[in-house]
Amino acid sequence: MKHHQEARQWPLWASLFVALLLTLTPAPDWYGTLFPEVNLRPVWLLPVSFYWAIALPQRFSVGYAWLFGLLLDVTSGGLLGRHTIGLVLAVWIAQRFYLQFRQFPLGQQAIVVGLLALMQQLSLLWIDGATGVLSQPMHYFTPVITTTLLWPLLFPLLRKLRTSLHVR
Amino acid sequence: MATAYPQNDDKPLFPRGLSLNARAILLCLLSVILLGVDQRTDQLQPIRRVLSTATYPLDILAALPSTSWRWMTGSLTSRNNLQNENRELKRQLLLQNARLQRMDALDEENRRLRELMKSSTRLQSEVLVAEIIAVDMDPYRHAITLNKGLAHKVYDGQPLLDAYGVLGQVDTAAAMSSTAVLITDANHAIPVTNNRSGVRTVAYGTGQSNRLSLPHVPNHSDMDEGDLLVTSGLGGRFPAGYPVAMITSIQRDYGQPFASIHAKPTAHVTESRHVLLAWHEHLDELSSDEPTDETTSEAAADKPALGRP
Repeated sequence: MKHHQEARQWPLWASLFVALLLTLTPAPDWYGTLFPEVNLRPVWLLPVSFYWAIALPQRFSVGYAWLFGLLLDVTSGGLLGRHTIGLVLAVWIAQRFYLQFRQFPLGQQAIVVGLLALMQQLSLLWIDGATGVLSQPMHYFTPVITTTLLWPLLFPLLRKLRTSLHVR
Repeated sequence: MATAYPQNDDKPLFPRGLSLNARAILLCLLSVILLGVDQRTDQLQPIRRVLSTATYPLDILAALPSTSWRWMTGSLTSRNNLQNENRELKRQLLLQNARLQRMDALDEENRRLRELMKSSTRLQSEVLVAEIIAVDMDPYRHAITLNKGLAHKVYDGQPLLDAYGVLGQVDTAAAMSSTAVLITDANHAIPVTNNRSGVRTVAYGTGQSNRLSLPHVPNHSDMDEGDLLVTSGLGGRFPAGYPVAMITSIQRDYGQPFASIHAKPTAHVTESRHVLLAWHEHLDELSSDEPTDETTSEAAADKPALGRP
């Protein structure tokens, strides 16, 4: 038992809300002119959820992942439940193997995050295909690459947030 | 690396309640049920309305970078530019006013003629200017969030226009905001008629912002490149006679039953900042059955009439 500091939780929820906002905020005008017809925006909620699921599995679990997925569904205007399945599955896998994932070097973790992002995008692809709103399949897969590349930057940031603010 | 993680001191040896696996499976099942119910019925509309109202601050926050950027560039515009713009706007206003004077007389004449013909079609007049506060970031969905909602008497299915044509329709109206689907959304269809020849059909969104598709037009029907498509008013959701799109390409393959026709929306789909919400009085005679969704079910309802001018 080494509770030197009062345990804090708000940075966990704040980081998830920031991830949600980054998903929702419109891309600046120059993005459209620089990368026309390419969707390079990473999926933010999944890697942030993954981090908290392996760092604090007793705090952040599948239930909260489902809630944040639902928030994303409501704010992004899609069918309710569109994002929840992918997020719940990713957090589930993260929690099942969190001890192993913690030991992984950063590159290997990035690959895991990429695979989970791929799984989420595939679930979106299937849901949109089944409900008949599928238009450009490539737009589902490019975010997987950027999300994988994002992890080596995101991980130290979230780690710094957790250790310096004593999030438990 | 692992040593830096906190020990799971408070993790009980025998966890109470459902296990992780059971919770994950239950939540996935719940998601699938939600998806199914939301896709097939309107039962979740009240829940969505409440949640959209609750998450309105999130929409505002997400739009903050772009609104503040617009504000900054706006306040840094030079005096010279503003004067030029002002002059141009005054000139346009004068021209439009001159046109409107003529319109008023025509409008009155039209109303009298329609009364004589006992026609139920009325020209709607009431509109409200709304601002787009967020654009849906899903590249596969063309949806926007507006800063007007139930408090401003916005209703589900309300037509949305800009200065150049039909833009879309309201999907869900929340208390202070509403989300709208654009006509270019892959899941949207709008009944149209060719302004020149009167051929009726349905224009489907393609998921690309400069393209609509008209898949059910027979090869022999009277359609030409450059023809203007206007709303037909069938289905009772959109008022009749508003410009929707201009036909850009027609391919007639006589081995196929239907021609392949594409059209470009006249509304400035990606550039509009302000849009018009129109209050459209439902055509009592045409839509005696309840106004259906403008999506595939509505399109199917229109299909028997296709191609018959």
